[in-house]
Amino acid sequence: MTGEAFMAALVDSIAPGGRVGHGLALPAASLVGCDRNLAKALADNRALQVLVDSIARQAGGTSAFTRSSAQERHALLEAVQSESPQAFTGLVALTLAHYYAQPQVLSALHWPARPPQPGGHELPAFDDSLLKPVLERGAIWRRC
Amino acid sequence: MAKQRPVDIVIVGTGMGGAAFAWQLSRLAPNLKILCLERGKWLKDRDMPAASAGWQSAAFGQWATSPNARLAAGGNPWSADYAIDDSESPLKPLMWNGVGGSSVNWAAHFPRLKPSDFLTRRLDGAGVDWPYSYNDLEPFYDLNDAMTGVCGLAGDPAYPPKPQRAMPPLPIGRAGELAAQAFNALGWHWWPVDAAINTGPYGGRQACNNCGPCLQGCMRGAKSSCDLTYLPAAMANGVEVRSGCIVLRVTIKNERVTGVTYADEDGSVHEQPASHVVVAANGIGTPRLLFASGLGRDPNSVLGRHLMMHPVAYARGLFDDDLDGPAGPVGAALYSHEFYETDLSRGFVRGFQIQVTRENSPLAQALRLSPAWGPLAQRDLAEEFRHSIVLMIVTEDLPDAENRVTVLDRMEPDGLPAVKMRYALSENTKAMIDWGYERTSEVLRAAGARREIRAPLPPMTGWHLLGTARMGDDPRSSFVDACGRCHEVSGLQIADGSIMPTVGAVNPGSTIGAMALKMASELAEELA
Repeated sequence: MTGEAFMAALVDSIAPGGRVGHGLALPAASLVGCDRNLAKALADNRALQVLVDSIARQAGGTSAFTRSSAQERHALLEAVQSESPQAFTGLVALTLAHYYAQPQVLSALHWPARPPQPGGHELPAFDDSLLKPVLERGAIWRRC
Repeated sequence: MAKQRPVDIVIVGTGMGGAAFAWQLSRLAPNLKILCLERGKWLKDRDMPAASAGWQSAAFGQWATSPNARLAAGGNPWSADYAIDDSESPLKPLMWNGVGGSSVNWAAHFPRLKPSDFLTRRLDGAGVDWPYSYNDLEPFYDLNDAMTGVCGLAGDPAYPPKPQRAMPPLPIGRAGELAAQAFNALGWHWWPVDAAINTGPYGGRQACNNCGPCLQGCMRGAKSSCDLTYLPAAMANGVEVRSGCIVLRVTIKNERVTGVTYADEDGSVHEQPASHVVVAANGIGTPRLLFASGLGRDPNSVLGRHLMMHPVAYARGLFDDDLDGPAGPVGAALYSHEFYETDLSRGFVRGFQIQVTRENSPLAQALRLSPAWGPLAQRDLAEEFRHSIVLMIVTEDLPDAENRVTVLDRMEPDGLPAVKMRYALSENTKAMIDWGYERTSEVLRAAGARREIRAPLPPMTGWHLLGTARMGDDPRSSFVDACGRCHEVSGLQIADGSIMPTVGAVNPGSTIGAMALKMASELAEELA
């Protein structure tokens, strides 16, 4: 019940990508392997498998889900989310954890496609001239 | 049960309270045999996620700040976590149960309390007064700063004078500069934070490189944590640290402490005789252990009561400009203490600070959105990521006896009773947050924000677990005296945030360390 096209359509409903504003264009989840990641996770996660089966069943089958429009899929998933909020949150978290770890996605967000270490980030040193008005006002702590 | 060789002092817990206490006592009373028992382990090879591809999701799994979340993810090998029933608390408890305590995964913001924080009853008719003053604690704040390694800038007009900080302040970033300019435009106080983070080499540790996710531990060692500061220094003085040892009870005979019973890593149970026991297991772990030891059974006992947590509320301003994103230590860049003191015309007593913090990872920000999925969620993330300033209203939490930690009638796998926290926001705190939100809106408007998003009471902010074994002169209204000595039995002392009678509106790490240094000095004098 978990064909490749269905899995791709499912994860693309969670992170569809495209032009998202601020001049950013994000890849769809299936383009960065979220569908394969989900398929792998199903093998060890009974609750997730039950949820995904339920999505397919409510859509009238995996092919019906895949053929339906993005709006129809979104509406169906909203209904599933209402019925099974905890399991659905797990599906979203699993998909997004994989999605936002992908170098293509981080680059598309204009963020370094690498872990924070060992490189870290450059920030300019603190400019204490900003504090001039604070200092001019004098002490404000409460004497007691 | 194996009987260990007696020691003079057993310290339970190696976080800021226990570690500072151990070091101070070991240098002032070098002849004492001091043993620290720690339920978790030493971090091996700074094995933290910041250099791995999974660094973002680690914050929701094995490296979550919540022990309950870590347990749900299968546990973290270094933190010996126990489940905490937080079903009756909107704020979830956060901590680290390994060597170094919660200094391992704290944000390392290192402010002091102010003189007025010690006198809230006398000055404002709220809370209770401390049995000592800011001036009494001040030399220990200074010593704690030196041992911990603090960056910042002396001269904050919202505080009595402090010594020159050991290192210059953290960079505040473009977001911090915008916020600072907004505070200036409003004529309000602000100052760069004191942080226990190296901005240059200090204490044999290197400088921070602004990587961001401090709450998953600092693999670089630039963020100060007790496993890198107090504990090595204490061990050089002869203190023994036994990790992987869960203290099951403090043993008491004829109202006098005789030592502790603990289980080691293999589950073997040991009797550890000691003349004196110091408990520093945080505002949940300390009452849990003491209840398990038969203390606090009197219905009028304050043990476990008056839990204070500094409820927070976030206001996020969205900007067209490119800002910093999750670069720089996540905890704080600068703060405003403009509204720290009581002004009853605001509709509440005492006050709050506004901290300007940093953005989180893309995943953390995406999962926080509502909805978190679908095209709107991705549009919202694009609008926010690298385009936001985060203001945090940190409120003073006044003691309420109904906010409490209790133990339940069942045992946990670690051999201690199950523990539950009950916590509700006071009307005073709610009024403070509502009023504070009007102020953060002013800041964000002055900074030029396009839009503001509010996140009242995010649950994963229960870092500060305070007040549950409070200090005072009267045994009817306090659990320990001004030196942290238990009123009920002799030879038992508490050296963590549990003993704070009130908590101000600032992060408590600096005060916990200073209190522990003070208490250890007093004990050394007493034993001399």
